[in-house]
Formats: sequence, C-alpha cells, structure tokens
Amino acid sequence: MAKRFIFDIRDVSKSFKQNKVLQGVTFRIEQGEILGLIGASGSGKTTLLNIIVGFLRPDRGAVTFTLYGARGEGRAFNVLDKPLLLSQQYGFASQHPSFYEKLTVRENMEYFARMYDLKPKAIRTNVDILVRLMGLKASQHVLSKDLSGGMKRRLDIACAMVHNPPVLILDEPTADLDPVLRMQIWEVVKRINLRGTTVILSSHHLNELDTLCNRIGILKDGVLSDLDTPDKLKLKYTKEQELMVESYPGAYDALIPKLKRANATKIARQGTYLVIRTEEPQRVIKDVLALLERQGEQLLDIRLNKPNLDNVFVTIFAQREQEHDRREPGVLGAPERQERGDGS
Amino acid sequence: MKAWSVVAKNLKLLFRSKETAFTIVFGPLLIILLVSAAYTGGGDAKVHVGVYAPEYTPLADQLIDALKEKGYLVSVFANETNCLGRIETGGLHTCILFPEDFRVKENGSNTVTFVVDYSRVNLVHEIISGLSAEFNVQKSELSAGLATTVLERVAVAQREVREGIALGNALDNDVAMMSEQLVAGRSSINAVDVNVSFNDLKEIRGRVTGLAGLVTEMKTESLEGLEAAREALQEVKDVVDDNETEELIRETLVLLENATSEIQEIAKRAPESVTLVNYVIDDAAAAMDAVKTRFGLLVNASRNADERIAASQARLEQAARSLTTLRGKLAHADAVLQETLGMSATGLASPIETRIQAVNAEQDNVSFTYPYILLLVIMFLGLMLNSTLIVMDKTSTAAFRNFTTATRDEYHILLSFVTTFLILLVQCLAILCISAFFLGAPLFTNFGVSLIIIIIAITLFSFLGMIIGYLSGTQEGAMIASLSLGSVLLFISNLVLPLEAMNWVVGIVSPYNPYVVLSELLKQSMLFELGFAYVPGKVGLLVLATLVLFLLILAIQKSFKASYFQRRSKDLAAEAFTPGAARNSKPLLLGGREVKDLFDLLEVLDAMTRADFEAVVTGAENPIATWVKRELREKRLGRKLSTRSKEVMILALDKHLKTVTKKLAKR
Repeated sequence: MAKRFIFDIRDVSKSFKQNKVLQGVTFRIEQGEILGLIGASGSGKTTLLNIIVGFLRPDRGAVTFTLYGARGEGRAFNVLDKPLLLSQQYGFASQHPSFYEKLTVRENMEYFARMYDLKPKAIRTNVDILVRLMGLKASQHVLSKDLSGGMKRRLDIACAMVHNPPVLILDEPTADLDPVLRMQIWEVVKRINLRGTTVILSSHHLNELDTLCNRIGILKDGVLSDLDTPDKLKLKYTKEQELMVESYPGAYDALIPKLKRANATKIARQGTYLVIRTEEPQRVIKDVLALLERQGEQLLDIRLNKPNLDNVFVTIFAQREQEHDRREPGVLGAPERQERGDGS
Repeated sequence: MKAWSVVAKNLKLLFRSKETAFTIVFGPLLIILLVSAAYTGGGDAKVHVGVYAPEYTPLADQLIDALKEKGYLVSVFANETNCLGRIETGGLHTCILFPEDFRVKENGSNTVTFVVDYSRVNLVHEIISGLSAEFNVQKSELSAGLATTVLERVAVAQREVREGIALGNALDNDVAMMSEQLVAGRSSINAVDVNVSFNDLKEIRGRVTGLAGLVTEMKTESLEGLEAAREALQEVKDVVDDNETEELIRETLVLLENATSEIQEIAKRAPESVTLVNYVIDDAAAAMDAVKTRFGLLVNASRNADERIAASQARLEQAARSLTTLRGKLAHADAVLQETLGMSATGLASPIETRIQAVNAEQDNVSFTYPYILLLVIMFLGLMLNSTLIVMDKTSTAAFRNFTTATRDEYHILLSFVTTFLILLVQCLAILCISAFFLGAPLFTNFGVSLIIIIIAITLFSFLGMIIGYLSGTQEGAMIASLSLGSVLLFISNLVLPLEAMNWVVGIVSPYNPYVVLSELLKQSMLFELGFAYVPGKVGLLVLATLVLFLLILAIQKSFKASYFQRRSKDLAAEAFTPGAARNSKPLLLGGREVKDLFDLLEVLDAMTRADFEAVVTGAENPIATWVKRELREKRLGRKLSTRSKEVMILALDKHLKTVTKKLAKR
C-alpha cells in the first residue's frame, strides 16, 4: 500500500524580528507514524509545530494537510485556509497543560469534547475510553488542580484526544517530569499510536524517543538538518562507541598515552571509570585488556555503550560549535559586517 | 527588614504589571484630569426653558424676554402637552406655564407654574432657584409699579381731601358770618315790642253809637217780623187738624212769644251796652295807636332782619355750593380710596406667584434616582464581571485549548457574554423586585420598555468590559481599568453634577456617554412611562454602538489570538538566544580574549586595565560600541557604550544585561 502523507511542509521559514527561527524547512508526515522533532532549546520545534497546525503563519512556504476519505482518496488543503476543519483533525498538547483547573477531570474532557460538536453519546464513549487509556479512571471526578504533574499531562493529552483526532501533536509532553512519569506518558503515546493515530512530538529526552519514534527530525538553527529513522540517524552521525573500563588501583594516567596510539578517538576519566570513544571497539577492548594486564591493574568492570540519540545530538551540536569557533574573529576597530542570510 | 521586603515585593508586583502600573500611576491622574476638565469652565448651568401661555400677553412676553436676557434657552410652545412632553424626554429642564389673562392685576395675583423634573435632583433646585430669582426680580418690579399706583392714588385722594379741607374752612367762615348775621337778625326781631293796647277807637265808637238806632230799628222790624210769623202760624193752626202739628205750632208760638219778649228786653238794654262798648272801643283805639307805633318799629326791624337774612341766604347758597364741591371731592377721594382698598394685599406684595409642580408623579428622591442607580450597578458590574471573566479565560491554562478547538471565536465571545448577561439580568431583576418591595416604588410600570433598555445596557457595558478584558493582562489590571472607565463615565454624567454645569467639551461628549444615554432612557421609561417612539434615535445609536463594540471585540480577540501563538513561539525561540548575543555574530577580540556576547564583554572590560581600555577606545573610534551596534544589533546599547569612560561603559552594560535577564526571567 502506498504511503499516505497527511502533512506536507514545504520550504517553511519564520522569523521573529531579526531572529530567523525556521529556514526553508521541508518534509512530509506519514499517516500513522510517530514523528519526533529534536533540537536545542529555541531551535524552532514549537514554532514548527505551531505552523504545522496553522497557529502561526509562515513568512515563506506552506503547510498542506491531506484529509483521506473512507476509500483512501485524499483532499489536500492549506492549513491556513480551513482552520475549523483542520482543528477536527488534530489534538495538540503543549508543554504546559491546558485545561480548567477548577473543573474535574471528566468535566474538562466533556467540556472540550463539546467544543468539537460531538454528540452526547460520542462524548460519553470517548471520555470513558480515554480515562481508561490514560489511567485517569480513578481520578475522573477529582478537581484538575489536585492532580499530580504526570496526571495533569495525561489529562492534557486526553483533552487533546477527546474528539478522537487522526493526528496528535505533543510539544515537549514530558518536560519537567521525572523519569517514571515520562515513561508513563510515552506508554500512553504508544497506546494512542496503536489505535492508528499519527503522533508528532518534540522532546529533549532523546533516548526516550529512540524506541518510540518511527522517524526523527533534527532541527538545528532553524534548519531541518536531518529526518530519518533513529537507527539511520545514529549510524549517520555517530560511528563511535563508548567503552567504559574500571580497574584497581585505577592508575589510568599511564594508560592514556598508550591508548591514544590505538584507535581511541577520545579518552577521559570519569570518576573511577576510564571512558574511551572509538570506532573500532573490538580492537580497543583487546588493547585495553592487554594494557591493564601489563600495568598490573585488576579489571573490575568493562562496558560497551552503543551510540544513542544523545550521541547524535551531541555530535550535531558539537559541529555547530566548531563551525562557530571556526569563524574568524573581528579585527579590532574595524569589525567586518558578516553576511547574513536573513535579509535584514 | 521583613516588612520592607513585603512592601517592596508588593510594589514590584504591582509595578511590573504594565497595565496595573499604568493604572496606578496614570489612572488617578487621568480621572482627575478628566473630571477637572469636565467640572471647570462650565459656569452656570445652561438651562433650557420651555414656556407656554394660553395668551402671550405683554407681561408674558416681558418675562420671556427677561429669561432670554439672563441666558436661558427659551422655547415657546403652542400647547402645554408638548411642553411637558419635552421635559419627560429630557429636551427641557423646566416648563413655565403662564395663567390665562396673564396681566398685572390689582385685585389678585397671577400664578405661574414651573413644571420641573425632580429626577434631575442635582439640577432641579438650581433651576427652581435660578428661575425663581429671575421671577422675583420681575415680581419686585411689578410690585413696585403697583405700589407706585397706590401712592399716586393716595396722593390724588390727599389732594382732594386738602382741597375739601380748604372748602370746609371757607364754609366755616361763611357759616360763622351767617350765624352772626342771624344772631343780629334775631336781636332785631327780639327788639320789637309786640304788646299793643287798643284804647283809642273813636271811629268805632261813633259807629257803635249809631248802633243804638239800628237796634231800635231792628226791634221794630223784628217785632213786626215776629208778629207776622205769629199770625202766619195762627192761620196755619186754624187750618191744621193734626194734633201733633197743632202742638208743634203752639210750641213755636210760645217760642215766638219768648223771642218777642227777649227782643223787647234787649232793646231796652241796648243804650247801656253801646255806652259800654264805646268805652271799650276807646280803650281799643288807644291800644291800637300803641300797636301802630310798635308795628312801625317792627317793620323797621323786620326790614333790617330781611336784609340780614338775605345776606345769610347768599352765604348759605355759597355754603351749599361749597358743600356740593366738597361732597364731590370727598366722593372722588372715597372712590380712589375704595379702589385702593379693593387692591389685594397679596397681589400688591406679590403680583406674580410661582408654583413648583413636578412633571412626574413620584415625589421621593429614591424613585427619582433609581434609574441612575440601577444603571450604575449595571455599568460597574458589566464592566468588572466581563473584564474579569475574559482575563480569567484568556490567562487560564485552558486558553490554549480553547483556541485550538473546532469552535469559532465568535461562539466563545458570545457565550462569555451570555454567561455574564444572565448573571446581570438575574441580578437586575432581583434588585428591581427587592426595591419594588421595600421602596414601594412602581418600578414595573412600562416594564417592557425598561427591560429592553436594561438589556441594551447590560449588553453594551458587557462588551465594554470584554474589550477591557482583552486589553488587560491581569485581573487586577482589568479591575482597575474597569473601575477607572466606570468612574470616568460616572463623573461625566448627571448623577454627581448636572451635565449642564460642566465644561462645553463634556456637553459635546456626554451625548455619547452610554451611561448618560441609557440612564436617561431608563428614567424616561420608569418615571414617565415613555415608549421607544419618543427616542428612536438614541436607541438606534445604542444598538449601533453595541454592534460596533461586538465587531471591535471580534477584531481584538482575533488579534489577541494571533499574538498569543506568536508570543508562545517567540518566547520559546528567545530562550535559544543568550542575552546579549545574536546568532551568527562575529566575535570581537578584546584584551587578548574572544568576546562572543555581552557577558563576555562585561567580564573582559572588568578585567581590562585603564591603559588597555584607552588604547582600544580612542577619541576617533570605539570598536566596542561599533561591534555591539553592528554584530549584536543593539543600536541603543551601542549608543550608550559610545563613551571613553570604562566605568560608564561597564555601568551601562551591566544595567542592560540586568534588564534583559529580568525580561527573560519573566517569560
């Protein structure tokens, strides 16, 4: 079956005064996938999500949404042209939960369901399903302000999903949550996706997206630098693996120069561990074990960490810093005006 | 210290909210400014007076002209109903009703009726006193005129009386003189001796002596006559056989015998009697002579008295004429005084009386001011409730979700309005019911029209409150702004001071003050039971204003919604930029270090010696300011850093960074 793309983002650019937040972003979102957007703070993730659903008008480019019928025929329209029709097609949960704190969980869900003109029976059904799906059944009659942080997030997602939209957009849904709550949220997202809902999300917790997302887009300085599956991204951006060694008495200073001569690209001491990054882990492990034995070190622990999205992120943003550093400093008294692409 | 900290915190909270700070600092100033502007330069109230007279007499015209001269706007009406109707619709402040045949009357006063609208509590007494003062002036002038007339009449009467007195004096002399003459006449008459003795009557004596022969002659003839009569009777006796007649004849013959005897006896005594008579006549003649003498004297005296009486008669005739004149004068004086007495003391003192009459039946101040107070409640509640609700909604965490649901913005706005509308309507009805119960005022008369006005008022003030809500960032800001707007609308209305007494600018603006328009409409409906037919223009204007406000709300709401998403995105994007750094900026080499942002700059400047600084920043160029302007695009800061003083530069930089950091922290 041919792929169905529901969002088509074409050459989208957006600036706030002199700051170019997005520059020529182009990609498509496939029906039923979980698409993750990662990037540093202020890289334009939220702006991009807002443009995708028509909250913001791009300075350049356009976003098209395709509405598929029962027979699979698609009807595409610009997201800015039909905001009400589009709003039926997505649920949006931002990083700040959005509901009435003085209404109960159920009242909130019912209220927002009515805002989508659902019939009472549909509202009841949807709310019943969602309170179970989100694990809010026991708290459905509790005032929303009395919920815990994680439950508030779940309620927010439930409110976004209450009209059973085909697309769910989550902007930093796990921000400020502890790992346990984060896992609960991701679990909910998975369950929603399993019902056929397309999920677009952004997050700082890259490793958690690793197993969740079908594809991940990387925003860097307002540019979509890459968009691919997590595995392909990892392969593309980081071939190095991280070897962690702990030995006794831990006289690593003598080891480091010798390891540098091997294929280790970076060696550093982290507490009682020696951390070695290398593209040839098997060879390095062999060399390390040999060196330890020669040095009379007793091996306590050895681990090999495969690359993850954090590594990809670090690699990409390290490149950015390097590019920045490579820029020639201005000459005193006569600083040159740098060419800018923002046209300002 | 703790107390100061709390106060400082509170002040910071208040002043860091722009609208609160604005309202706290400028709100009172604005209110004072507006109110001062409104209340100064107004001078006297511009009172619009309607007049109606069944007949526009010179006195009525005189009073109308006097009112015009005093600066009143005077409209003359052809009938009373129109005049009173204009008060009810607010077109007039008072209607002056002149009585029929309005003229200065000597035998009574004219009552001029001032019909006023007591619901204009703060103006009505001023109008009454102002007009009364003007009428009092006119009354005084008329009263003075009447008094002058009285005095003139009294003067005429006095003149007449004085002339009468003069005539009386003359009459007195005449009478005195007449009296003297009469006394003299009487003396003359009294002087006449009327005792007369008749001792000398010689002629009569001769005649009496001749009487003796006559008596003898008479005796003979009488005896002969008697004898003839006896013989005749004897003959009759012989022929008569009637006893009674014979008896009668015999008696008559006896009587004739007796008469014959007496005549013979008299004839025997006649000479003696004549002698006696002669003696008497002699005495009478003597008396007659004396009488003649006396009568001669009497004639003289009488002649003298006649002359005197003739003179007295002339005098009396003169006195009679004087008396006629005097009577005429006194009658005139009497008539004049009668006329004067006929004048009414009240009319003289107060030729025009004024009467104050209320155009509306209700007489207590609560009833008069009730529409204003009810509108006041609607205004403040409408403004505050709606602004608060809008701020609550837009600043609530649910705002984002409301904006993203498949519900039109207009729907949200309308339903926000409906919510507050219902609350306000229920409150109004409750207030009306309670007031009607406790005040006993007929508040439900003409209720249909009143209800529509109340609905328009609720709608209009709700929309105004919603606009305030959309323009305010915080609830306290919205509340203060609502109170400020309500206060301004209140001050520029009739409730505190009459609009007529305010500045002319207010006069121009006030017809567009919704509180003024609606409260007047409600008053006309509640107190005068007027329908919309009387004020179609105002109602149309209000409906139009309501529609405009609704469209304005839609525009503001859409603008707010657009800026809401932009702000969210901008805030998040701003986090990426370190304060004082711009993307893709070229670093600056300063003091052997690479400066990437303002924090770096501050650090490097702080570490630089004065000599190093002066080597970099010369009079000719300031590479630091140039870098900030060109690379960081902070032109304003660049200007502040255009200094040769290291300390000034550090202070400016430090201040700027603090400000920027605070702004980011607030986001």
